[in-house]
Amino acid sequence: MADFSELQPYIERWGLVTAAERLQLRVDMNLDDLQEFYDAVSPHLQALIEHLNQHPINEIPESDKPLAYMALALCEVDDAIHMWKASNLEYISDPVSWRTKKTYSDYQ
Amino acid sequence: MNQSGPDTISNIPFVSETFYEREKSLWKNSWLMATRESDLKEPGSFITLDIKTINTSIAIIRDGKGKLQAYYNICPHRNGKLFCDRQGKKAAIVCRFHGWSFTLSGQCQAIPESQLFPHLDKKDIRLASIAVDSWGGFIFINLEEKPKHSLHDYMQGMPKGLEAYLADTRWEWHTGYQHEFSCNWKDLMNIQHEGYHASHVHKKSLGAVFTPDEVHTNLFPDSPGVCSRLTVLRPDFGDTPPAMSLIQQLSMKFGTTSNWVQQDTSRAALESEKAVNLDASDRFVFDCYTFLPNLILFVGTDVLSVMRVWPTGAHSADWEWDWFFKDEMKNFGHLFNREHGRMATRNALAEDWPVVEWAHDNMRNGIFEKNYIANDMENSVRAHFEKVLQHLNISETDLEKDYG
Repeated sequence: MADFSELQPYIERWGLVTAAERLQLRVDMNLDDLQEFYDAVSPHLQALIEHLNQHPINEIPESDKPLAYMALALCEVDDAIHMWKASNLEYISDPVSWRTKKTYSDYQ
Repeated sequence: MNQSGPDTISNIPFVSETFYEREKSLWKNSWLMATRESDLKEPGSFITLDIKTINTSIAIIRDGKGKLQAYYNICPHRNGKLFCDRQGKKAAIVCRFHGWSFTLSGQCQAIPESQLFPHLDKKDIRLASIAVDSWGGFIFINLEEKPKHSLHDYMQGMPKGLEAYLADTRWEWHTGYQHEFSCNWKDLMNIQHEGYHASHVHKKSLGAVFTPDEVHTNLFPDSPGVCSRLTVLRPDFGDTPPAMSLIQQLSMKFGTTSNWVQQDTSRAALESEKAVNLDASDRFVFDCYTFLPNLILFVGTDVLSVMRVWPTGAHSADWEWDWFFKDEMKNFGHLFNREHGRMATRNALAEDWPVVEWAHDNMRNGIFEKNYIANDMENSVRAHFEKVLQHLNISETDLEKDYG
């Protein structure tokens, strides 16, 4: 049984349910904080994915969902750390202001 | 300011209110993508679409015989609304206003207190139908009473295998965005189907310089509906590819939806012959098809993105972007790969929109009356521009005279 207890502070902070929330947190944090999160969690990512892959995607236990959300947050910060060297890009439209659709036909 | 030469196009169609009024007819006589067939599997399942540009609501429903029907969302009695939800399932179509009811195939079947209408025979009353057809598993409608072109003819020029590839592959809708931007609808289209801006606007997010060959465009001047195909290849980094992050490396294990990781994507051409990646490049990212008026399809190895724009004025437009991924998402690794690719695209899109909003504002100032178009890397802009004018039966020389 994998033990990710040392990641608990990051799970509490980054285990946000929606992609929009994780994006907002990335934008709100400075690069040093993002780097700390990245350095602490990315060495565990392979084990995290293997752990979560034990279940079909729709049957991930509730108790593991914050872990999954935190792992997805690494996707959110990857480019900030490796390409932009900043917590956000310059001169952008803020994707948080874009409405997330619920279905393909959900044009309001 | 003096701007001349064959490489220019007029700003007028992008800023003129008069032109916009004329242009609205594009939404009345073109094939418009409405939904995906898999969203209307069962008899009675329906979607609605509000085309704000022309203040028109339509509904598409699968009837009892499994046939697609499209109707104006209007009751013939007193113009009440028939479908009040975005999607759902109905056994019959019942008007919200007075309860007149219709079969799924549009025939009036019941009028409450029908004795109040002694001269009406319900057999003579039908919903107002709209032309509807499918291509590549997507459902299109056309509001023209008798469309000039069938949907099949409208798609002339598309590669032989693409329709079947799009229709037969299990494309799973993943997520999508909607936002209203302050620019002309064609500005939103134009930045997505030209590759010239990518090396500059996306210098940080993509970290690559694209040569003309890596953003190569084919045009379809004889097609009624298809404007261009932009094929995007990952730049050739030679022996010194940029280092991949650990996240990218792990994502690669679960799919190919992360556009910028260095993996051989030539299998896209092998798995779907004459559908995508027609030159079988191992650096293939996507083929981007632009259709008149408002649709762009980005067909990648395992990802399909759909962009539609819906004008809300001469200087504003709703933008929709949807991601479909191939096959069923079975485990977290697949989700991780999808999200990694999706975020890279989302970040690039976020860089695009201020650029076009600023340019649109500047166009309205009228300091420069034309745009210069780079033939090798921006000819899709001209192709869409010309297709719009052609459809409206307006010549470039008449633009100044009638709309300037």
